Formats: sequence, structure tokens, C-alpha cells
Amino acid sequence: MLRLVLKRNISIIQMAGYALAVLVGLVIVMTAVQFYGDAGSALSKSAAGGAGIELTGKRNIIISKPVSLRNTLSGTAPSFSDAEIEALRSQPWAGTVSGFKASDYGVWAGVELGGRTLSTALFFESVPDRLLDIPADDWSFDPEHPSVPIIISKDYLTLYNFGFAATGRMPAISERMLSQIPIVVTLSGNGHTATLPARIVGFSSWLNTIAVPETFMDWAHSRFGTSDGREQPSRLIIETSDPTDPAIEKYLAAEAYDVAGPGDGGMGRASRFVVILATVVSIVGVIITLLALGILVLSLYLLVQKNSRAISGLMLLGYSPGQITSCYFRMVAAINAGVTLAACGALLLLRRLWQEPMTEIDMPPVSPLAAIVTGVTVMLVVTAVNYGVIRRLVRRVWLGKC
Amino acid sequence: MAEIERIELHGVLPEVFRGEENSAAVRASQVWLSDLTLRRGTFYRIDAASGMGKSSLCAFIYGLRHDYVGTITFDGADIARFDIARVCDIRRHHLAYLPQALELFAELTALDNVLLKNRLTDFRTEADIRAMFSRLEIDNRMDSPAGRLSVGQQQRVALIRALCQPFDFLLLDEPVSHLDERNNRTCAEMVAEAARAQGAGVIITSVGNPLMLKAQQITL
Repeated sequence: MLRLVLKRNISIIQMAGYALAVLVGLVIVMTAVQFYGDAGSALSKSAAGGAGIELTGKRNIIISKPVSLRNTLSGTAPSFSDAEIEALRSQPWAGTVSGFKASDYGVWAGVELGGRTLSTALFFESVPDRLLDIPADDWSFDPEHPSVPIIISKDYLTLYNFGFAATGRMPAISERMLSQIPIVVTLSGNGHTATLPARIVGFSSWLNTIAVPETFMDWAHSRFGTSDGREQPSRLIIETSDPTDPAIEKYLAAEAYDVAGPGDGGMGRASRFVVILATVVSIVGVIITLLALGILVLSLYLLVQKNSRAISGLMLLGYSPGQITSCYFRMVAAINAGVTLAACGALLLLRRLWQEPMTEIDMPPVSPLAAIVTGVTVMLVVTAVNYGVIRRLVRRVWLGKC
Repeated sequence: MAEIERIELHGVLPEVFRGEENSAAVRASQVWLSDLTLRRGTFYRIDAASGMGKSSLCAFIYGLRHDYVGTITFDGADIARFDIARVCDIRRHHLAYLPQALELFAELTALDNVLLKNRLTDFRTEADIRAMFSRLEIDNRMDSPAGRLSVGQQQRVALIRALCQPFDFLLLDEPVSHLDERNNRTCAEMVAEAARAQGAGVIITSVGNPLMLKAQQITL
């Protein structure tokens, strides 16, 4: 009965117009978010082969200096000075800056294949453990039961399989097979020699080295190290939250630093373009949603004004502004809930437009959860604004201002 | 909230009467610019010529309007300071009001107009309400939209609605101006019965056709 009194003068056309406009705005926002997520996932996959870079997450940039004639003549690798490292750290886009630690002792690695032992001189490097996405159990070193976990660059295996093995009539080796081959490493230096078992625990597409855990590197340096351990690093890993920031590329080019590993400038620009595109489309969606909100606010003003006598009559009987607000709010909330559901359905249909072609080129789209959460959040904000407007209008009637 | 035992007016004057403080009409008034106490359990009839502010007085006491000088208190508490929740509670449980404009919802039936109030207070059974319609001889109009009833019939519907709540005071603004003597008497009986049952006070305004209820007369 209360609803009957209050819903007098409601314009179905106005409400339908609002619902349609909000639906269009919301679908645009949600589609942009979904596209951003799908494209970002695809770009990160193509840029880093699934490791090292995420469009919105952290990315590690590995830099080094170009080798000069002086380095060749002096037999040293170009290294970064403390001042240069400090200058890097002070850049707004730079997170933690860490150096590669290189082995300063002799390393020989050997494998037994068909009764023959193949061995080669090797080197190790270490980077902070937290930069490696590998379970801690696999990436640890215990001096009491020494076994050295190793990560090698995927490029090394590729080089062997498609270069050396193909032309030298050697068998191609899979990652899994290589991981199961027992390796023996011999460390020497500082008057000591030790032979330890080792195993390959992973392959990295962004870490272009033979990496061992930091704990092993420190242990080996203390026993076999021939330097004081204060050498300047020749390669640095910079963590950054926004790898697409053009300032990074500009700075590294100005300093003439070489960028190693994945994420060349072109991919960075592509990622940036996707971010800009998705942002612009999202803004358009938000503007449409805001305009729709404007339509509703005006409709509510009109409705409350037309019904002010009925509302006053109800208040005269003892109905509180809260009860009257609730009645109108329930109506708007029902419309908003319907619009949210419809927008979710539209999103799921629309994403099919690019979902199938992406899957065909091995770029699986991401879950629509983020887009749905965004849509629901937008509608919760819109609904909260609706509530505020209705409450304010009804109180104006209470105060006799409407 | 406890029952309202007394309504007090201290120097109250509608703002529209400003500048007329020394006029003969205001000076003769027992209400405007006076100290007046209305007690629970007592029936009052406020007589006045048209335009002296009877409806304004009811609206001031009911908390609908605040365009007056002076203070109105319920048991010493200034009603101008009451918050929304307290005003709503008073309107549901302590102060019943039959406005001169009746304020019925034209599109609702006569019965629904009454039920709209009763659902808020849950004070009467539907059978009680139907009996009141019968007593006032409008039971055949219960299902008619209120907008189609005559003013006299609408007055009776509005009276039934006003009686569908507990009250300490019942404010009746020219409640029987369009009723004949027989209906006037029935209305008076129903008002008196409801008020006495609750020990409530009744404040009736009138310009010439007063509710036939024995009451203390006050000149506005």
C-alpha cells in the first residue's frame, strides 16, 4: 500500500532510460577491464615466455654495460660503480636494485653419459632468492648435506638442441631429461677443492646465467673464494612496478646501458598502448555511467517533487523519512541489481569476440572475475550515490523544502 | 517515550501575525502571546473566527510547521528541538491528528487509507475498523477510492484513521464542518469513547459547527 502511494508518478520511460544508459556505461567499463586483463596476459606471455614480466605486476630489468676495448685489454668485465647504482636507485620508477654475485673460484661440472664422463669449466652467479619463482625446498643449500640446485637459462638448452645437437648429430635433450641427469661439480680455490652433487631444478627464460642459491654462493665464497668479495657488480637487476614506463627506456638509453633478457622496448610500448587504450575506453564507460547517474538523479528529483504531497501525507501519519527512503531505494536497488546482472551477461558474451582467436594462438584469456568485481564495485558506488540522493530529497520534503 | 501529560504554549504567535501583537484580536486571544497549558484527560474546544490561525496552531503542535515565535513544550521539552525519530514516535503513539485538509490519498480506497495508518500502529483490528465505518454509516463506501467520496464522507474516514492509533492528545481541526447533526453526534461519541479509554486529552478547533462534545472553551 505504501509502495502504491509512493510509486505514483514514476515514469517507466525515465527508469528504462536510466537502466539502459547505466547498462551501456557499465558494459564498456567491464569490457575495457577484461580486455586490459586479457591483452596484458597475452603480452606478458609473449614478452617473457611466462616468466619475468607481468603487465601490471613487478618486472625485473637486467642491465649491464657494453664491453669496451679497454675491458678486452684489461681482461675485466665492465662494472657498475656505487654512484651509478645510487643514481639508479634514485629513479622514481626503480624499486630494489640488486647486483649479480659471480663465483670467484674455479667451477668444473661433469656428467656421466654412457660410461663416459663429460666435464667442462663453468661459472655460477646468484641473484636474491625472492626474485626467483621457485619453491624454497628446491632452492636451498645445506652444507651438512651439500647438493647444489642450479637454474640455467632456457636459451642454453635451445642453443644446444637447435644449434649444436642438430648439426653435430648429438641427441636433443628435453628440460625434464636434463633435470634428471646427475651432475657433479668440483669447486676449487684458496687451497681447497671439493666435489659436490648438483641438479638442475629449473630453466629461466629471463635469467641469462647459471644461477645458484645465495646461501650456496656465500658458503662457497667463504671456502674457495679468491677475492675479498667487494667487487662491483657487472650486471644489475632492477625491480620496477611499471615496466611500461617510458622513463625507464629513456634513462637506460641515456646512460648507454644494455638491457638483457625479455621485455624489449617494443613490447613495453605495446603494453603501454594497451594500458592507454583500456584507460581511455574505461573513462568513456565511466562518463556514460555518470551521465546515466545524472539522468536518475534528475528523475528522482522530479519524482519526489511530483510526489511531495503524498510523501508529506505519509509523514503526517507517522511514516519516517527512513521508511519512505527505503521504499524508493529498494526500487532503484532492484534496477541496479538487474543492470549489474545484465552487464555481467553482456561481458561474457562480448569477450567471446576475442577469446577464441586468442586461444587459437595459445594466449588463453584471463578469468572475468576482475571485470565482474569492477562492475559490481561501480554499481555499489552508483547505488550508494542513489541512496544519498533519495535520502536527501525525502528529508527536504520533511523539512518542507520540496 | 513516556505519555505526554501536558502541552504548554509560551508566548506563541504565528510569524505571519508579526506586527499585529497589539491588535484587538491578538490581545483578546487566550492562545496567542499567552501562557496556555493543555492537560491530558481534558477536552478543549478552541473557537475562533476564520483566519485567526486555528490550523496553524494544530500544525505547530503536531510539529508540521515551525514558523512561530515563542515556545511549545510537551511536559517541559521544547518540541522545536525534537529529532525526526522522536517526532515520528509522537505521531504514532502520542498525538493523533485530523487535519482540516484531511490529507487522504485519493487513489486509495477509504478502507486502505485507514489501514495505511493502522499498519503503522497496529492499534485496531480490521473488524474494529469495519465496525467504525458501519457506525459512521459509510461502510458501503469502504472500497470506494477516497477521492470519489463527498467531503462529509471523507471527514468521517479521516476521523476513523485518526482513531487508529494510541494517543495522549487528539487534535481535531474542524472535524465535522461538513457533517449533519446525527453524524456529528456519532463522531463526538466515538471521540469521547476513544479519549476516555486512553485517558487522553482532545483539542478541537471550530469556526461555527463544533463537534458536539462537552469541552472547555478557549478563544483563539
